[in-house]
Amino acid sequence: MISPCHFMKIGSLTVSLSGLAEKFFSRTNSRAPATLENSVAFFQNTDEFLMSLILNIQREARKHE
Amino acid sequence: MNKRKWILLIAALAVIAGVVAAQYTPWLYWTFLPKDQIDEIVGEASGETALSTIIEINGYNRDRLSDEYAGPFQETQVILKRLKQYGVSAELVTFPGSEVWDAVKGELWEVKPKRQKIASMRDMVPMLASGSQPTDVTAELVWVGRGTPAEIDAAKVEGKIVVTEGSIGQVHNYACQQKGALGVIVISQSRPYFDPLQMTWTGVGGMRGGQRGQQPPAQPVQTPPPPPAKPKFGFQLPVREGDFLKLRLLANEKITVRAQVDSKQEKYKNEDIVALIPGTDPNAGEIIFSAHLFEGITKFGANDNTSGSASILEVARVLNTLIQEGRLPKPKRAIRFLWGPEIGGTGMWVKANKAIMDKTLCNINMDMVGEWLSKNQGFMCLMRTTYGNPHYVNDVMENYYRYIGEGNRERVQNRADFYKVPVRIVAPFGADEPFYYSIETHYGASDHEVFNDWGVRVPGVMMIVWPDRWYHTSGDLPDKSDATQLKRVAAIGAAGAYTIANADDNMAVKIAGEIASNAARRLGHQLVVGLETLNRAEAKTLLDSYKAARAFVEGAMVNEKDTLDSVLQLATDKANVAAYIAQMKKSVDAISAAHLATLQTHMEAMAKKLGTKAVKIELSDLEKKAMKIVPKPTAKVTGEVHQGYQKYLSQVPQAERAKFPYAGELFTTNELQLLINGKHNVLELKALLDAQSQRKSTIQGILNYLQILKIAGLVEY
Repeated sequence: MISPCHFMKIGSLTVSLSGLAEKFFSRTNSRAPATLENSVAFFQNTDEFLMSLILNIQREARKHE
Repeated sequence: MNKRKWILLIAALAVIAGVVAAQYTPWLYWTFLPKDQIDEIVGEASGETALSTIIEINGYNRDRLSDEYAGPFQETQVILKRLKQYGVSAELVTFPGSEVWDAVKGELWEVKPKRQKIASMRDMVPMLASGSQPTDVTAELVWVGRGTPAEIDAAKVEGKIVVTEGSIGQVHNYACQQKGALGVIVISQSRPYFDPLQMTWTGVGGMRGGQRGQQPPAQPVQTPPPPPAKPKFGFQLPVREGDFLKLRLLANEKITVRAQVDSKQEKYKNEDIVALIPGTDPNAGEIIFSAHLFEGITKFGANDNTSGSASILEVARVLNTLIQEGRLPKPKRAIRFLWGPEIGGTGMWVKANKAIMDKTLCNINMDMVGEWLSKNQGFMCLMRTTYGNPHYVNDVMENYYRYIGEGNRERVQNRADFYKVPVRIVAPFGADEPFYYSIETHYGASDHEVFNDWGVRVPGVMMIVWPDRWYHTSGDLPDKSDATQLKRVAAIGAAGAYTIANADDNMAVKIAGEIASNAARRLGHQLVVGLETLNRAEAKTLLDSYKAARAFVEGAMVNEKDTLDSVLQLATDKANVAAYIAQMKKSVDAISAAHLATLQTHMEAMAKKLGTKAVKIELSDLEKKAMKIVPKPTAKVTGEVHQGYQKYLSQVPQAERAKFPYAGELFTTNELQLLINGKHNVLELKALLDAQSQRKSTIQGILNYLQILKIAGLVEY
């Protein structure tokens, strides 16, 4: 089961999306299941705002790749 | 003994026997399946077999070596090998993956004043934090306490390796990436008083940075946003060992260490395994089990979630064996099994198999199910679906949870019986202990959420043990798993799935009847929540409290009737079963009406107590409008399966969104999406949301969000 700790920083977002993208989707962090799908699943019961935020993060992350 | 004494003795014995016989022993040991079938399933289920799968896959925290990345991974090989051995047809399906950080070497040695090893990933893989970059440095250690910016600033960390008992991620981000420290050593604070040797799977510069088990931060750490810099390195020590280092540094001892790290990026593919036990009627639908075999690529866990993977494998073995040997009839419906990377890999397979999803009735997800319950102080939980995915799978699974849970405990009423534990189900080499179980409201965060998604609409429950005292730590090893627990889980899973897979009209009626029975209990709970809501009312809030109290019952009532309707998908003679369901729905209506009358009486009593007038509910113009709106989803919602609808939502212009604000007005947009079914009007949608949470949704918020969905082309009304 994925842990809320993985996603806390999305919930209290204060940094730029590109910064977050780097943080969450960095190629160096892959021991953790830091995938869009995991984020989406965790927030399945929260607001669409967060969901769209995560999608934005993913888009930003792809730009970094 | 004379005749009179004999009579007295017999009379006394009769009285004693009467007392014993008059014990009020509850009877809770029925199942949907007939006794001969449940006995076959329980007997065949082998906790030891499931445990051996766990040990074979995850006997220790291993370092995945380079040649494995070409695939298939060891986990995949074990599951495929065993499926073949069990005679269950299966295939490996791969999807594009990405790159993953992979450790090659991680050694941390003290070089002055002593020569000794401090940490090595050879001793325990998670001693090297994921994300650590190659380095070979010799530097002085510096203690930074919990690692607040103030502590780091004061410690002058540039050119040194910081030692902290704070968050590795936060300390690394600030000390290493902004203040010039070379690396970080964290003393793991994961449940230090429970297990001083456990360490969380953690990382630097990545997602697990910041995770610290269950212990909250000592104080809020306002770390400035990190620049997008490459991470350095991190090591982790268990608290028992780390405290020696901490004490030496607190005594101002100057310690120099050499850190040697080597790591690289490895390409990988996502691997899903799919197995199938076919049904006799390809048009009757399917049931799908899921369990994630991977949680990331380099993190391991016996219970999270090799246990779920091993358990659905055991379910496959049990059912296939029983069916092949003629000990259970071939089921009408197919039973499918899916293993893969958590959520992401499950989602990929689901997205690629819309036709299968369209005919799948429900999902049973197993995640962290093998825990030795007493060792973990855990409960075997059934996480139900939300009201947005009403389904009989909840009640079918509950039936078997109750059978094993109530059957495997000794009651004071039974203490004189020969069978003190009425239906003892214990693995020969497992724990002999009760089955602590709990039927719970919904929780996500696992693979069932892929199925519960608005774009998929396959109701999914999760079987999970919580708490797990070694969750996401180096201590999540098979010695925390229990063969008895695994046997019981496999039996519940197999019995639940087989009940649905082979259900005929008689079983459909049986299930509907039990739903109506359970509904009475659940509505009773909603009633008391409503009563308590009124107990807390003040004179000025009485009307709102009364509305909220009624919503707890009204929303639950709608859900129970929706759940009853779901049973119809099992019926062949639809009209006959529908007639029975209609009667059960009347029963739910009657119970709800009685509860609503009770709430009215209680509201009147509260009004008297508060010295105010009893309130009367009159629909406002907005509520009247809401009653007339019945939104229904369009084909776009499920057209692109998992999360496919997000594309349309993201296309709604900001200017349009600004016209229809809903922030803070809704308990959850995702549940609202699921509740839209072309039958519920907006007033009912509000009750269905409000009944599930203390956080209330407003009608205007619902209407606004529906407008956005309408603009996105996802609903129409």
